[in-house]
Amino acid sequence: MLEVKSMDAILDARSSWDDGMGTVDYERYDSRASLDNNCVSDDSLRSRSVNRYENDRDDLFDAGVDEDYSVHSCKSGASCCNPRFMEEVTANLLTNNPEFSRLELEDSIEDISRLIQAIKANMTVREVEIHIEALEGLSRIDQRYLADAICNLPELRSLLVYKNSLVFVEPLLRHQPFLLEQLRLCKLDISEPSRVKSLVSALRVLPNLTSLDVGFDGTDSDGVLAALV
Amino acid sequence: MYLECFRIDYKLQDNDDTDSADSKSDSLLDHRIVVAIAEAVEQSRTLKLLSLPPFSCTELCYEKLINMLQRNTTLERIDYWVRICNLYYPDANEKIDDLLHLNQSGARRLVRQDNVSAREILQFVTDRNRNDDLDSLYHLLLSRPSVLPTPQIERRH
Repeated sequence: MLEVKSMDAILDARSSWDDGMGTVDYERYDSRASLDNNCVSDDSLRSRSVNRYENDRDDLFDAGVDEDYSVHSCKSGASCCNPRFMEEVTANLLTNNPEFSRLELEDSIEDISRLIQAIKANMTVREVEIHIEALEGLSRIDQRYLADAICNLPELRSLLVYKNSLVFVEPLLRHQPFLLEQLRLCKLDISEPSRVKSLVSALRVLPNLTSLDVGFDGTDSDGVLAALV
Repeated sequence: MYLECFRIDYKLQDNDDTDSADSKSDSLLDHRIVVAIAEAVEQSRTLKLLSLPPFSCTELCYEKLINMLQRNTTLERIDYWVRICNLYYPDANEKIDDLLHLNQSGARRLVRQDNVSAREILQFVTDRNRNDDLDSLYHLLLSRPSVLPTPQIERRH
């Protein structure tokens, strides 16, 4: 339904993005290259994960387990603000535990820097769900770092953000998560034309997207209309 | 992009005075938005589910959706709503629901498809008959009676 018109249009949209925070140094939390066991470039990580996906996909479909991801999240009777539980989550992320495929952040996050570092090092998480409380406790800048790390997950297939999902639009456009199939962005404020343009550009660069769920908040009918036409 | 599911939602202004004329119009889906969605969806051959915001549809919205469905043969479900006492419930429109049902069964795709094999037709008729889906069978026979294979009668001299 949607087609990429040109890379220039995407780059235009990227450069015009403005949510009032200015430029962010996304290398600040980039721990992937510094980790001893994962000292490879982003490109090789991505291509490796894509190849692995392509090889395994048929087997998964045949076995009927493609959608049957194991659930490990902050929701399992513990809170993200519980240091002990977060320790377990970050350990699973850092060690690339193959059974740890779903990350759900549903409460305020105690140590955001460590979590972001762990996400940047991870290659197994397929589904991410972020609740309102998880983002509310973070500064705007940390929200952007977190969004950037999540959108750069090489195995990301499902992303659900309940609030402030606008902060994920630019990282989606930047990293273009190749495997992303399900995207749900709630309470999007696209009242400015540049944001509409970025949203549309971001959607155009997701080749495997099959399910899109967008909720606009703080946007009048004309703004919604601008995003649709 | 091969979208199969598209849901859209947006929050209208909160209005405490539900009796005012403004609040009534706010609870109705802006038909311009439906027109934009309908135009985008009309040509899609992958989308199966469309979910509109939980606001009551105007008659104009229904009309736009029906016009879209006259051309789109892949969309199988549309979520649209009716408002009753400040609560929203799934709405139903006979024409829309009929078209969606025919899309679900594949009858409309079969009618419009070129080069349909007799085997495909037979499979469809058998399946629909097994599911008691006579509406789809009726639509197929009415729209394209020639699709049914004619019996070969051997003449003996």
